[in-house]
Amino acid sequence: MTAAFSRFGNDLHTGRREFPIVRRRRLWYLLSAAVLVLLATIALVRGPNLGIEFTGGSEFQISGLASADQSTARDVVREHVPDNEPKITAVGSDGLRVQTEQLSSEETGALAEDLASAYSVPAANVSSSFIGPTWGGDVTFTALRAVVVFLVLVGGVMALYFRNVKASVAAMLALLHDMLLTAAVYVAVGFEITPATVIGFLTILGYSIYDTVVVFDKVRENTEDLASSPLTFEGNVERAVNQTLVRSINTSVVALLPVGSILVIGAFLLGAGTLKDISLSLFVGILAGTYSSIFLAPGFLTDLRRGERAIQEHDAEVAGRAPVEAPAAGPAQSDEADAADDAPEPAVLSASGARAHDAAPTDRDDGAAAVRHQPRRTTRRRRR
Amino acid sequence: MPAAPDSPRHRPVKDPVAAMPARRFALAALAVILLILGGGVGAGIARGGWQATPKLALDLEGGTQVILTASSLDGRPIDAATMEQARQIMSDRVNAIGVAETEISIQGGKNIVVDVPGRLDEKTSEALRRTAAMSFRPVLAVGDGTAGASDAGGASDAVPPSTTASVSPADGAAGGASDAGGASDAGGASDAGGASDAGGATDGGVPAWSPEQLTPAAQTIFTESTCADPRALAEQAETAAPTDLVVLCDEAGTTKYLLGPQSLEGAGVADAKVAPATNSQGQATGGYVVNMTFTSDAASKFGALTTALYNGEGATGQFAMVLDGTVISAPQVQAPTSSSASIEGDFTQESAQLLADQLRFGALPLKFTVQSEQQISATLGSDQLEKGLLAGLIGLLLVVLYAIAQYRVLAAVTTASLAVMGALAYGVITVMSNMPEIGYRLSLAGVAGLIVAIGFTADSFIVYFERVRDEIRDGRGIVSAVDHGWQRASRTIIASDTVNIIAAVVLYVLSTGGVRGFAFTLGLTTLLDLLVVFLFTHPILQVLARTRFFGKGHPLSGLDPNALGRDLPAYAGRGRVRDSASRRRRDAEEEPFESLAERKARRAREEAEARSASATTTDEEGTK
Repeated sequence: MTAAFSRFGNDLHTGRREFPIVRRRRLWYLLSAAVLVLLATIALVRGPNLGIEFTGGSEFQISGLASADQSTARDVVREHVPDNEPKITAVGSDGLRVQTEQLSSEETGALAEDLASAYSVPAANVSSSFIGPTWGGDVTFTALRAVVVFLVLVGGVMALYFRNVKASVAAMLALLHDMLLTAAVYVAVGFEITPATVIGFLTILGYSIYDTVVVFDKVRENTEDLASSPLTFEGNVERAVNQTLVRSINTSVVALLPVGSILVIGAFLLGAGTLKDISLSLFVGILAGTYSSIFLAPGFLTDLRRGERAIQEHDAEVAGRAPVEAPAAGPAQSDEADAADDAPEPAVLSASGARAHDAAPTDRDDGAAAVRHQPRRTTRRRRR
Repeated sequence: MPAAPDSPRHRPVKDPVAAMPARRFALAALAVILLILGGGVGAGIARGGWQATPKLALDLEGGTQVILTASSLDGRPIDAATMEQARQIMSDRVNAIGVAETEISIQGGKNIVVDVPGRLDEKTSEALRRTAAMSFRPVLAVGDGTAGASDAGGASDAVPPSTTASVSPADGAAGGASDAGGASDAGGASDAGGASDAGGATDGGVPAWSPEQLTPAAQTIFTESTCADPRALAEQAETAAPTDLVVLCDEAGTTKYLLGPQSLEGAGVADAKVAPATNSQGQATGGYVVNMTFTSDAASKFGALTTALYNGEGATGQFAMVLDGTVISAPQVQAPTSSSASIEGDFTQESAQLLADQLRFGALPLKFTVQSEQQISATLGSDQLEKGLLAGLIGLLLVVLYAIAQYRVLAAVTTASLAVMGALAYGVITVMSNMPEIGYRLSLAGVAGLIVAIGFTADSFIVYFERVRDEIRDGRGIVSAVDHGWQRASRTIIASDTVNIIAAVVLYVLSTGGVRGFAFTLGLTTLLDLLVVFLFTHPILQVLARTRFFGKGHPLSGLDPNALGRDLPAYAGRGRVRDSASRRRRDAEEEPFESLAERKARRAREEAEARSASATTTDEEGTK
């Protein structure tokens, strides 16, 4: 299977196999927009499922339970606050978490005692907390402020790194998509939103950009010498996306494995809590980030840069000569063009590279080395 | 086709000397870092009583966390100095109650996070919420706070120099007779009488500063009070009415003051600033003064107080500024003043700044509301830690397995890099949590950050390996592919990690609680990722590329040119198979020819492939 995967990677690299990702970009735009609109509609209808940190309330944690029967807790809470439906979740292997509306301190104490006696555990096993209704909102507000600061800073760094504002804009648009999609999925599915969810959400920022940087780096590399490229700009972007496809899949799988492992452990062994909340939002976000870095960001980049004069001229030139050179424009040649991007005269360069990096002392004295290089250069000349 | 640069048959397997230093230097640097970290932790454990494991935050250890949010009374923005004052006051209060290991920190600008091991009692909770108040009171008597039952009343001679300060109009015009030596004229206090008791309300007609305030009962209480427990006095003062007399201590706990009823509230201070001290000629003396200005309403009260004290109508010539039950300054009045005053004394710039900060804080104390109060039982904490670590182990195992499936023996590099990463992360976190100045505590969110980092770190190895594979696919030899691949991949890795570091720093600085713990580990692991990739993964891969196994692209090495669609005879395919034989025939006359023959055959094959492939490509181009 891995051999097949690596052959798949080889074919993508040489262009022998190419998925129409950038060429069909309008399809992906439409698809993404449709999914976002659909999810956002559901989300608007449903409304967010906010955790106690956002709504405020009292929370009791009972540990060391012999039987984690939730109905006992429900009955006890109803005795105290008849008109409140408590939220009861399993926590850890032998614990329960009971969340109610905010109670006064006497009510809290009485309820804690009753819970302890109902489950026949010592009173010390029941801990009570209260969370003001503004706490979660405060976390979110500071987090959103952090997001804005982050976007401004990273937008600047990306523009400097790619020396191109449009690449930066495309990366930021893809990031925006990831954030919107994750948020929409969260609300639409009805996952509980807690400050830990917000933490996971914030980590998506870094991850999404990471993926996009990998793809855009390849785009930059392929278009460094655009004028001599046999492909249009769009074609180059397409090639870059396909060449980095294996990498994107690998990085996503590897990033998802630990996150998934926290998610499974968090959800099944620990029940509700920080681990599950962080990992769930990360899981959704990483999937969204992988999708957008492959299907959206390169498309945005192509559309944003299409209007540039140099690119238009080049594309027109390629379009003009395409029919003439079509038979020769096979993978072998484009492969060579790739290499030519990398080093204008690969044979010579890599020969000297070999000397510098690999066998400096021996190669210089070794007459055979010179003999060995000779036929290669001639081969190359002949082929040209 | 780009020619393959290296020909293994003719190159010794040993490393070329020229390229050694960079690799060696990197690995040596890493070894030094690991040794320092390991040695530091070891020495810390052996000598300094450090723990071998990082300290845990409340959600893993169990305890109570209270988060309080500050709001200013008039909606002004809250600055860092004000928050620090509030934190200091809160910390003093809690320490006085004697709750061990309570940590109070400012997070996200206007939140104060209080971590208490175990449960939070009513008293501590109240101490955290109470708003600190500032008031101006006349000093009725001064005494040595360290002595048990000292002489009352005119104990002014016991005033240590540190408390001496004087106040005069801020313009510095008055103050020629500045003798800051002490409140010597306060001796008359002892002959006073009239007010009924120390705690009782004074008669309406008696001014706050009058010696008549000094009743025998008040003096008895003052005599019996010591500064051994200044907070106890402060607690009493908190409950007293503004019209009561109070006994309070200075910050050092060395001097006690019997203070008259409140003359004006702290809110009357409009501003307080540090300025260089000048003499009567207006020349700078090199010292510092604190200039206060008052609101118009407060200015008349302050004027009345200073005028009376200056005219010797007070029990002493001093008044005290009391913040949260502590006398922060008790200057001697040098001249009557009203709307502004200058406090002179033996200030350094820092102590002057501190006083100015305290005055500003007292003028506009912050109000704190409890945002959340969360208790985590110790059993739940250890349960979460255990499950978190289990999740981490499983995640690590899965990543290693996936790497083996994808990169074969090369996965050993990934695994070793992750191991180095783990060692570094452990070392840094342990050191940071044991150093009292940092006192980092690992939270559940932090553990999650570490686990997530496994994936993100492995991602940078993937970016690197895939890049090397691309170079091999482009026809480079393995050694040169490693070097060229690195040049490209390192840029990508630096850019990506920069983004992650920005995210971590921004989150850390701008947020509160759990977000911070996560941001910290995310930032730390990203930095360590860079360190590991540069100092370990790349040098190791360079070294490995020069071994036969990797350098000749063994099928299991993960760098097999055949598997990567390159069966160039010149550098791998045939050469490798024939290697041992060709080694014996050193002159290798026929090798190039054979290569050429091979090459011809391959070219023919590739051209055929190209034709068929280009047909499909042109079709697609045409339909567009």
